[in-house]
Amino acid sequence: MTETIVSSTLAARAETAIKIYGHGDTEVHALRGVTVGFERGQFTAIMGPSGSGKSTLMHCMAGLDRLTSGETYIGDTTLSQLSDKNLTLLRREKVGFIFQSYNLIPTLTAKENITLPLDLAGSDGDQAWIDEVITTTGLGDRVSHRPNELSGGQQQRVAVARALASRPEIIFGDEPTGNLDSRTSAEILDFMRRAVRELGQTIVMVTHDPVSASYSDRVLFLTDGQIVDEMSNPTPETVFDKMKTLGD
Amino acid sequence: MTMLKLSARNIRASVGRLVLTILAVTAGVGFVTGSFILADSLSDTFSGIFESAASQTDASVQLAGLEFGEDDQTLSDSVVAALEELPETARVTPIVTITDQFTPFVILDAAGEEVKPRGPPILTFSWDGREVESAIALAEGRSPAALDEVVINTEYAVAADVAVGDQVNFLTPDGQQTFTLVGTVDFPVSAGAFFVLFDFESAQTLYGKEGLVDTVELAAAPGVSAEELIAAAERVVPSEAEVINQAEVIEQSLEDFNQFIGIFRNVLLAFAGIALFVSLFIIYNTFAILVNQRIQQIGMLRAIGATGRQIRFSILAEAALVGLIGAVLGLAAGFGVAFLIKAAFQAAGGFPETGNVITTTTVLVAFLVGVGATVLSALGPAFLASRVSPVAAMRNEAGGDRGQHRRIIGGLVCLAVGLVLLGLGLFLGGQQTSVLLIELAVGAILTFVGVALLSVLFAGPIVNFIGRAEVLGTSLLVLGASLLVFMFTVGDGLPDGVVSWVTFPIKVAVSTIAILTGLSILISKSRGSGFGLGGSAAGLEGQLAKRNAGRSPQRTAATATALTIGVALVATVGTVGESLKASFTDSLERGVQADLFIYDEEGQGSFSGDLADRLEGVAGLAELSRFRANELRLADGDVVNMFAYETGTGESVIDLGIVAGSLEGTADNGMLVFVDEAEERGLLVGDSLVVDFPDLQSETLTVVGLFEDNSVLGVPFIIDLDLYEQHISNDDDVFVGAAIEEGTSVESVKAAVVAVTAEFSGVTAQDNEEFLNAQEGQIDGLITLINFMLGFALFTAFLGVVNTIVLSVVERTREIGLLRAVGTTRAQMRAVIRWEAVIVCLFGALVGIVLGVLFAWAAVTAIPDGIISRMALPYETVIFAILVAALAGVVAAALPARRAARLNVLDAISTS
Ligand SMILES: Nc1ncnc2c1ncn2[C@@H]1O[C@H](COP(=O)(O)OP(=O)(O)O)[C@@H](O)[C@H]1O
Ligand SMILES: [Mg+2]
Repeated sequence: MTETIVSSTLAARAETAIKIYGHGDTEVHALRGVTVGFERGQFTAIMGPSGSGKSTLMHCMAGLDRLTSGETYIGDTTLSQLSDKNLTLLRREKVGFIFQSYNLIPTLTAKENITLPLDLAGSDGDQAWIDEVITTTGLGDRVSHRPNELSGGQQQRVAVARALASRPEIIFGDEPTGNLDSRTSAEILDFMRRAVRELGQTIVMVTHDPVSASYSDRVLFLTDGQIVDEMSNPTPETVFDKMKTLGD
Repeated sequence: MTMLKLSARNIRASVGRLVLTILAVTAGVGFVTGSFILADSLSDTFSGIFESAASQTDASVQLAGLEFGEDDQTLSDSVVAALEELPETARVTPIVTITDQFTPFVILDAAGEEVKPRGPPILTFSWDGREVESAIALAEGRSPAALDEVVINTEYAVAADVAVGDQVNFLTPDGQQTFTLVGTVDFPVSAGAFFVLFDFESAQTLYGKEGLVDTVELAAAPGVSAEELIAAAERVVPSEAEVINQAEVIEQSLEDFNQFIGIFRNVLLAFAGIALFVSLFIIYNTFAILVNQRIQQIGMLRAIGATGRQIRFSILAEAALVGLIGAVLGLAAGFGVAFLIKAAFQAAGGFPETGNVITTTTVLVAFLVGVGATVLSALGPAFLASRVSPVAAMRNEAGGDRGQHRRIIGGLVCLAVGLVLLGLGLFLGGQQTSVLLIELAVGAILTFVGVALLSVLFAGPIVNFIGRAEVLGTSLLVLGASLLVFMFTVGDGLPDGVVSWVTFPIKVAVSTIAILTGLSILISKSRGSGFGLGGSAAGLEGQLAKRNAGRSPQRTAATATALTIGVALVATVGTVGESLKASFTDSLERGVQADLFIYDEEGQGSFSGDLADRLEGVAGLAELSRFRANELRLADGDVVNMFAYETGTGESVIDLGIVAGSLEGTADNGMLVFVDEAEERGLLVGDSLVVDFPDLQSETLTVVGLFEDNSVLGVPFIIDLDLYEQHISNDDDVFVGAAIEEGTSVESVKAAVVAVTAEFSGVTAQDNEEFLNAQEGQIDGLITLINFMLGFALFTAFLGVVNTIVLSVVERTREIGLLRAVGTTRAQMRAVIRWEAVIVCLFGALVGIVLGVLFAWAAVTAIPDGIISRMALPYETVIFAILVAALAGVVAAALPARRAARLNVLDAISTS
């Protein structure tokens, strides 16, 4: 896994990423030197037991948190060299997020929630693209409703659409279907896969569920702060089998 | 734009949570605008009167002002005829009046009692029946025209229960006299004063001013200018009189008046500032809580690219909108506040009828204060919000306590700087008043902020202590019982004034509730089961309440702070007032040997020396000492007040507390000087100084002693009465002290003395205790008025308590749902919230009292011993304040407790 990666085809990458929380007795090594790259137009799933560092890896790669040592990149940009302000601007322009609890603003309509990142940046964005994204959500005229008038699945579709709105370099999702039942999960995962296939987006998501992981193009297995394995074109069965062997 | 939209939507969504904050802004802004409205209305009303008076009168003739030492002069009414002959005059109106307060005309009721206004004087002058717009108007009947006819103002007619056509019995300088009431008049700006009017000729006779006139008003004939009129009039008036340009006079009086109004407004604004200061804490608190509740949302916004600045802006915009709404409501509330203050002043003495004037300045100030104050207090929370880490969006917990260290360091710095400023203000002499006031105000504000920040440190332990059932029960019991005890021992006992008739039943009720609650808590605790009012406090509910109050010391401290400020100010005022009373009583007891005091209590004026002459003949009086007042001119040109008394007998009436030199030699061109005055002028015992008497004769006086006890006389210089009489012919006394012969009863002698004083209108004879009570009554009146003004701050503080409890109930929705789900009844839920509020309020009141007493101690130390010599605690006020705070907790919790009890269990649990 240490082969040189050609950066131009990668949306994001990490090099020997180390993250340590706390000091002395309370020190926790969340990441112990992770090197990984995410290719453009690919749907990646990250799996691993609870506490293995999945969220930490995502936070650091997305510029939400800083590494203790090592380096992460979004496109060609080195994150560690960015000021807080520039990191914010980078997130605004290049990164999308899908949260576990939908995290929509209850006082804004679905459509306003979707265009929120663009509004924050003060740009109108690509109107055709936004229309396309909104159409893909399949919400129809429900986009002018408030989140509490939408079902859980619909709310999460709005959240995904929000991540897509600014046409980011890469989208991160931390267990985006963790709160949903299996049917709604399928609906969201399908939506995410279409965003990758049809709209050419790059998505990285953390998940516990082999079925969810099977929607992706590639699965990374994280244990104890290190990447221990990966798998291409997964099916629920192969992922499940791999999990069992890692569990030993 | 998005952020603004978000702010507006956030407000709409959390309007319920912001209502009380908006109300707090409204209260603060309302007081500020109320002060402006009141001041502007007063100024407007009076300008109206001045102007309408000026529209009728162009010039007036009166005696020229007296120089120091000039004798009183009179103006002959022959000038009236001379003026009338001038072709330049269209109207000549002569007026006589009595300016001396002790010879008014007072109505006697059926029982022979004098009917007087409370506080304001009775004014009497001649009236030609001319109405002046917004100053005087005939209400009923006609103007007076004969010697036995009188007109009074409507308020007086109501007070004396007389009607037009009645024969009315008056006490006049010439004894009792009956007049026919031929009409009533209205004075829109009477300010509570009563008016007694006669026609000019009758007034001359009645006032003993035959052939004299005080003022002659002149109106110019058509086509004649004011200047021409004045030039013409000056040719005919005698040399002792002067002709005044009415327009100039009015301009001058308006200027003087507006200056006075300015001071009045600033005093009101000072109290408004206090209320506003309390609001600042409430606003801060609300936004701090709102930010905490929205931490996930803020984190998400940061994650998807909102800059810290955008977050900050959205919070501040939300604050500005809240401020804007508060300002609009506050403007409206301003009218109510103006009305309340007017009513208070009317009850306390008198206040003119005014309209309600609102100026652009007032509106601007309202918006500036409303928006400014809100944004200012939201700065801290907004800044914290902008530093929320984007990772917060991913975590499910709410924001914890951050910046504890910084808060403590900030608290220490604020406290230190605040105390230094207070110390400088209080103990460093020779500063400008404005600098001094800024030092004190900023010092007090910083001290409060410092204590508020630091109280996080001790809020937990104290709340845990107060919250223990046995502590809570015992304190309520003891406090309630001691309030009753103090009321009936140290205090006044049964009510005698209007104010005490209101407070007395409240105090009795509060102490009774406290005793019953305290008892029931203690009984429940010992029996192990709930019993009575306070039963729940001893049970699980009390436990939970205590834990809740102690769980977030920061929140508890912030909630309590608003109350702390209010209580601290009341305690400061109460303690300083009590110390003033105690010092006064001390020095009076030490310094006053007289058994009877004869003086003009209301008018504080002088009265004829005949009174003392007549008293000489009263049996049972051992000593009698007259005190007269006048002025002296010192070598440097300063004109100072002086008292004169009969040395030799005077000492047995008043002990001046000589601290240097002695009384020896006072009768021999000596002079006694008040220590503070001597210090200021660098005078020592043995110094000689040349002074001018009002007859413009000089005398060389020697300082024979310095005195420190000025509580009765309140003058810088005292000389011997013989010397006084050599230079001043006026024999009016301002004060007569009398000692009674051994073995005679005070009552019988007093009755004989009163029989004499009754003939001198306005003069009272009081025994030692009455005199003391009268003096204390004045201090009490002032304290009541100040407390009324502080009432706005206390009300705001109360809103703050309700506000935080509401917010914390909202915040704990899930937890409350859980408690309900596992079987907590609604009543139990209510009790938890109620006792939590009581504990927090008690904490706030305790800190407030400690602070207030400390402030008062500093003030008492700084105030010269001549005024306040020792510190005394107003136990009754202090205990009452603590109990009221506890009760305020119960009331404040009522609404949120209902909300908590009514929460739908399932909804509550599913809220995330
Ligand atoms: N803010 C933090 N402070 C201290 N330790 C943390 C923090 N966040 C995560 N950790 C620790 O780091 C390790 C990895 O956490 P995380 O990345 O959340 O794991 P995962 O998402 O795979 O469950 C865990 O042991 C966790 O307890
Ligand atoms: Mg995780």
